[in-house]
Amino acid sequence: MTTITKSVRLSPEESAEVAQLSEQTYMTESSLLKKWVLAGIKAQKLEMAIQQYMERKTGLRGGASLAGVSYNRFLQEVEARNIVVLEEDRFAERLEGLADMFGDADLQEAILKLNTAAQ
Amino acid sequence: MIRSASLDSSFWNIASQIGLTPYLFSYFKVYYCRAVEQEIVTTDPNETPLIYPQAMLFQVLREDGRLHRREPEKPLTIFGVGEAQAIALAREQSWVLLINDVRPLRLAQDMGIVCVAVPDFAVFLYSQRRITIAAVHGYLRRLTNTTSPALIAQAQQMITHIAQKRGETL
Repeated sequence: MTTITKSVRLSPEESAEVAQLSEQTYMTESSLLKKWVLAGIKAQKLEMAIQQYMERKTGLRGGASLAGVSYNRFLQEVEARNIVVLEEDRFAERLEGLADMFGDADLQEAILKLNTAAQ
Repeated sequence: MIRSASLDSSFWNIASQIGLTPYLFSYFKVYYCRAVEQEIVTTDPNETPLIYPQAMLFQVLREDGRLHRREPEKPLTIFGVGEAQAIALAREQSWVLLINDVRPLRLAQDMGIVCVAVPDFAVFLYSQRRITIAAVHGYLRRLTNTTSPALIAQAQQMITHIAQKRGETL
C-alpha cells in the first residue's frame, strides 16, 4: 500500500508527552500518531454529520453516510445527544389521517378540540 | 381493517426501542424494501459485534412472516437509498408510510403520502383502547429525547381530551 508522509510541528513539551505515551503503550510514536489521526478523522466526520443533521441539511441516512458509519450507529449518536428527529409540524394532520383511516371518532373529536384551541 | 404500510428504518428503530412494534400488526400489513432491511440489520463489524435489539426483532418477525418484502418499481433518486425506496413504495401503492425522521417525513407529506410517526401511533393506540393512559404517557416519556417538546405537549393534550371524555384519570 502506498503511504504519504504528513508532518506536524510540536512543542518540546508536546513532543515529550508523545514520547512518554509511546513508552507507556509500547507503540512507536509513528503508530501512535497515526492511530490518533485516524480516530480524530472519524470523530470529526461524525461531529460534522451531526451538525448537518441538526441543521436539517440531511436526514438520518445522509448523516450516517457523511459520518461513514451505519444507520444504526448514527441514530445511536443522535439519540445520545438528545437531538430531535421529529418536529411538531403537521402532527395533527397525520393523526387525522389515522383517525379517518380507521374511523376513530374519539381521536377525530380530540383533533378538532386541539385545532380549535390552537386558533 | 388491516391497511398496507411501507416501513422506513427510522420508524422501526424508534418504535422497537420503546416497545411499540408488536401493536403495528393489528392495524398494518407491513412491507419493507431490501435497502430498509439492510439499514436495520447492519452494524459496523469493526465497531461492535453486538446485534441491535431492533435488528434482532426485525429478523425474528421477518422469519415469522409478519414482515413482507416488496421493492418499488421506480425508487426516488433523492435522499438516502432506504427512505427513497420506502417513500417510493408508499407512493406507488398508495400505502401508508411508517416514518420517524423529520426531513424525509416532510417530503413524503408534501407528496401527499399518508404518514404515521411513532408518537402518532402511540396516541392512536390509546384512542383505540389498546393501551392504558399510563402506558401512552410512558411511551411518550421514552420519546422525549428525540421528539420535539411541542409535539409531546400536543400529544399529551390530545390524550387529555380523550381521557376526559372517557372519565379516565392517570
